[in-house]
Amino acid sequence: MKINKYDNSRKLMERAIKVIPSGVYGHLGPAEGCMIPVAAFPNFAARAEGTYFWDVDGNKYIDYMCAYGPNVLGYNDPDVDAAAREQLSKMNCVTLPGEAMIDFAELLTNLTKKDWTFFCKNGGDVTLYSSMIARYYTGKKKMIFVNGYYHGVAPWSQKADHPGTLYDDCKNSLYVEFNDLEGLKKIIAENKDDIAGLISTPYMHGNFQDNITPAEGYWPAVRKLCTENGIVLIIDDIRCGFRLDLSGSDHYYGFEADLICFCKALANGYNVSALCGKEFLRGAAGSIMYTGSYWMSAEPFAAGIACIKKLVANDACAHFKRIGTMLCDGLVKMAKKKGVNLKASGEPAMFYLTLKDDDSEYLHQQWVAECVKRGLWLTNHHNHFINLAMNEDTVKETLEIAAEAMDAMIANNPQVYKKK
Amino acid sequence: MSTRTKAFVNFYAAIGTLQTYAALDDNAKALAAKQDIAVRFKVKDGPDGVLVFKGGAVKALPYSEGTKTNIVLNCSSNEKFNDLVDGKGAAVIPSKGFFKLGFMLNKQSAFNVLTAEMAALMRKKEFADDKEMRLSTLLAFNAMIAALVQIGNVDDIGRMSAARIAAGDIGIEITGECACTIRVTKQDGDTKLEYIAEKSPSPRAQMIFDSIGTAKGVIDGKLDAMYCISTGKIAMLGFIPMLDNLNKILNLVPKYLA
Ligand SMILES: Cc1ncc(COP(=O)(O)O)c(C=O)c1O
Repeated sequence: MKINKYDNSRKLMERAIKVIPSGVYGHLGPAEGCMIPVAAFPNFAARAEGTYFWDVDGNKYIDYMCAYGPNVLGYNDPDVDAAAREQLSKMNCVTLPGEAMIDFAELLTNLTKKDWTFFCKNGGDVTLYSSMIARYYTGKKKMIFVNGYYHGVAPWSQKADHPGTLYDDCKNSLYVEFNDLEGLKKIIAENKDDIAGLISTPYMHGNFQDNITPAEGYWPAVRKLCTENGIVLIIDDIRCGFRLDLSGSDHYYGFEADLICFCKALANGYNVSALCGKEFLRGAAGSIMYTGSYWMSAEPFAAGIACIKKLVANDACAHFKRIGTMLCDGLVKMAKKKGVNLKASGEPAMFYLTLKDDDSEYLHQQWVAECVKRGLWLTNHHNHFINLAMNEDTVKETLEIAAEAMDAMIANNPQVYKKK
Repeated sequence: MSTRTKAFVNFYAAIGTLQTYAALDDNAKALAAKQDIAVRFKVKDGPDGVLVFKGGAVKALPYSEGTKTNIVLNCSSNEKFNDLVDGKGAAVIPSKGFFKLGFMLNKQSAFNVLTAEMAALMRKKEFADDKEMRLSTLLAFNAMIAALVQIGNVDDIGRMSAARIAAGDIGIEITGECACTIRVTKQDGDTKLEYIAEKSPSPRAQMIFDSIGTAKGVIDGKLDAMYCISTGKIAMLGFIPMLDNLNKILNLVPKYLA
């Protein structure tokens, strides 16, 4: 198999680093993106199609990060792009919103079985808004977070030692463990009459850890506790939304959220996020002045409508589960044959991988690096995503690359994998 | 910034780096060899440590019952101790070793000469030669790691970050120059960081500077760490959350090591 070279990526990085902090900051950059070692990874992409992208050196990748979620149908989906282009030919960002905003709100409100929809741009916009609604509606100050969470970059959702966050920003944050009902009851009892909301992802898909799905009865019990204590139950479905269930992941796990946040899979990469809510919070949502320069642009709404309709027409979540399961089973089996203990966790549509043969992740990082060098884009720290453009052939191609990469990793670690 | 944390940083990082100085530099070693003494710094509600000069080697250790000492210096507050280290000459009351007080009071004592030389060396911007630059960088590097450990153990925000570091060794290395270990242990829900001036046999996570120049750039604030990671000048590998949280403590070091 060909081993990638990254000369053009490095040249671009040299340019980028002069005018952009870190060169590439955030989750697409070498640091946050855990590109270990950096030499094994490219820095810039040139084009994308379906489930593949090509970097600036012409190397091709099967992409299981899907732009960290937004690629839900396949890159450059012709139907979504056509809808966006058609909308653009009429209007996009104008002094008044267009009808597409209502169309999209109707579609989402009905699909998610909620009573209203509010649009922003990023996931962090809607998680922050959800906390403001909870605080305004209840008149209480504290928010419960579930450890291992990520709800965006704003200080309210960070820990007090995060650079740029103040100790006071986190004064009203309470923390519980996922699946820990007793811990939750204790926190509620200790802060009685002070808690505005509980925000959680539908399952624990945190980084650097095996992902954890909810225990039997967990969510209905959390729902009940929130109702009894006047706590607004907020589901951050930014990552899972429309990958587990097209009505939202609360329905997937058999309960109903008061507020639910969507973003990544809404519009196949066009820029829109949404908060859907129950009737009793409509007044609070409307009373808070919350807006942004681009939040009512028409093009992403048109793209979103086309995207959601296509997901529905293709029974997308069943596809994600089927392909994700096939892939995870294949990878684990392939590894086992080679004497490697690879674990897949979380939901198959958003599988998380870890190699369990050391406690430091060196071996896992090495395997992932060997995969990337051969054109299979995995990450060593984050869950992955399935999209509608992946099929059995994609899985087959993936398994071939993954196996060769694993052989390379094994050969580089003879002290761990002694020759049988 | 907390005065108490500053006092710990002052003892273990500012004074404690004498250990590295005497180990790396022959002149410093010869000077240190002039003294054979164990001095206990007993700071009320602060560090209680012993500085040992023996056979040209220097060590800064936490005091433990039974440790032999020649002088005991009592400081009534962390503030006073910090003033003392900053050369503001605050009063210390010896409860033992009146006759050996020259160690502190005499400007020409090995202790005072060494500390003054070391501080000047670490502050230096222009160097006589490559050797001097390396020594200065390694001293500052050592002080930075030693300070980090104290901040992680004592400072409120630092402890918050430390609590989220998994148990195990973190290896920190300047390729071809030096390697040290921060050992993280957990007991009864408390996290302790320990600085070991040796390479870890089995680090769970590693931060590797590719050269002394990179380390110097980062210490001087001329290279930003993210830039270094992006360009491969600093490699991070292993269990990354350990390093993410360690870096949050590292961000606090300049506040304490001015
Ligand atoms: C669960 C979750 N919440 C919130 C966010 C923040 O979304 P954004 O980056 O669009 O602000 C993300 C992004 O990765 C996420 O995965």
